[in-house]
Amino acid sequence: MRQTFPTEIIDRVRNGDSCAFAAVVDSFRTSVYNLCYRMLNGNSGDAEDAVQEVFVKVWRNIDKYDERRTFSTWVLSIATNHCIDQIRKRRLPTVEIDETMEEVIPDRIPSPKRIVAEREQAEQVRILLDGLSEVDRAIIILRYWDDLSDREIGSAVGLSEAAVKSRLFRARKQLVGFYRQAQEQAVMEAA
Amino acid sequence: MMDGHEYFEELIFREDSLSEAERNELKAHLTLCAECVCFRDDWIAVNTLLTDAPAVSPAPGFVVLFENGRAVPAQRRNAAPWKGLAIFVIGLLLLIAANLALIANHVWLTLIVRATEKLMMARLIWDSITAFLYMIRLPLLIGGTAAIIAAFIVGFGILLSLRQYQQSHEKRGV
Ligand SMILES: [Zn+2]
Repeated sequence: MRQTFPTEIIDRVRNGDSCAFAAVVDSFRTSVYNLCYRMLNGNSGDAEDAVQEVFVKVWRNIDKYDERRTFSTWVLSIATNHCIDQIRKRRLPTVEIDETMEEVIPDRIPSPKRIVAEREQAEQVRILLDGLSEVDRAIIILRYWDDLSDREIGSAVGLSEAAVKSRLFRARKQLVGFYRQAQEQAVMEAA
Repeated sequence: MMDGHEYFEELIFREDSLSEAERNELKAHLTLCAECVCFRDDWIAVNTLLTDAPAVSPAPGFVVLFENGRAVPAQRRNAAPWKGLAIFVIGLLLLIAANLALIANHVWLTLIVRATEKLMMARLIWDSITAFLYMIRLPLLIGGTAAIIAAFIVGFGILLSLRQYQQSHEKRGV
């Protein structure tokens, strides 16, 4: 379960306390970055730019934050909408996975074999996500990496709970389809 | 439209949270339907990929920047902020070096061109003198010979008159 973010910190941010805002950044940096990175075709440069812009929006719009919502969902909704806007604006081309996957800090030094396997898995995940529409991709990311409920996802992407359920079903089915395509291609390349 | 399998696909997606009745229903269907068995295997693979993929963290040097308590609008940041400055300084040095090389090159070329011009001028003068001398070679030869003969005659005449003068003095003296 997600922890609720301390209200006093949010209040201090509202009063222009940059130290309190640094605490907000510190708490949501990884989840916002992960969301932006996976939304924006696994491009770390674009993700870093997006994270910066998302936090600028969080800072500027903190007065609009409604305390009935979970703060993390609100931050993630800003990040999701920012990424969706970016994709729609630029219609991002597919790019190769970059070195950022190395930034996932391992608990121990991984073997070259494990590094290769992890890179392959990361590439597979990127290919699967890239096949989805931007909204469906956001729904999957928020479900899998941020563990949001259907209702929270709906609040982040501006859809009803029922619409999220329906889209989640469709997206998962599509993911199975993309997975099968990738497998077939791998078999054909191996032959 | 829901086909016969879609209901079971939906059950497969939320297999972890099925009721006892739904679980039995799915189990029974899977014993009969190879398509759904295959779908379930593929979904498990996809689900594993997604659940195993770790959250990606920004690079260690990445920071959300603030200025006077305000977040700074996004710009591409390098992991090492000095990188940009280093690239700028190296670029500037290269530019200066290229300019110096161009200036040096220009000076050298100017010197070479000037030297070539001077040599060409000297050659032209020399050629003119040679051509002039060649043109006047016959009159020069005749004039020269005539001058030498005239010099001999004049010289001989002078010597002769000197001798006569000497002889007349000797007679008067004796
Ligand atoms: Zn079936």
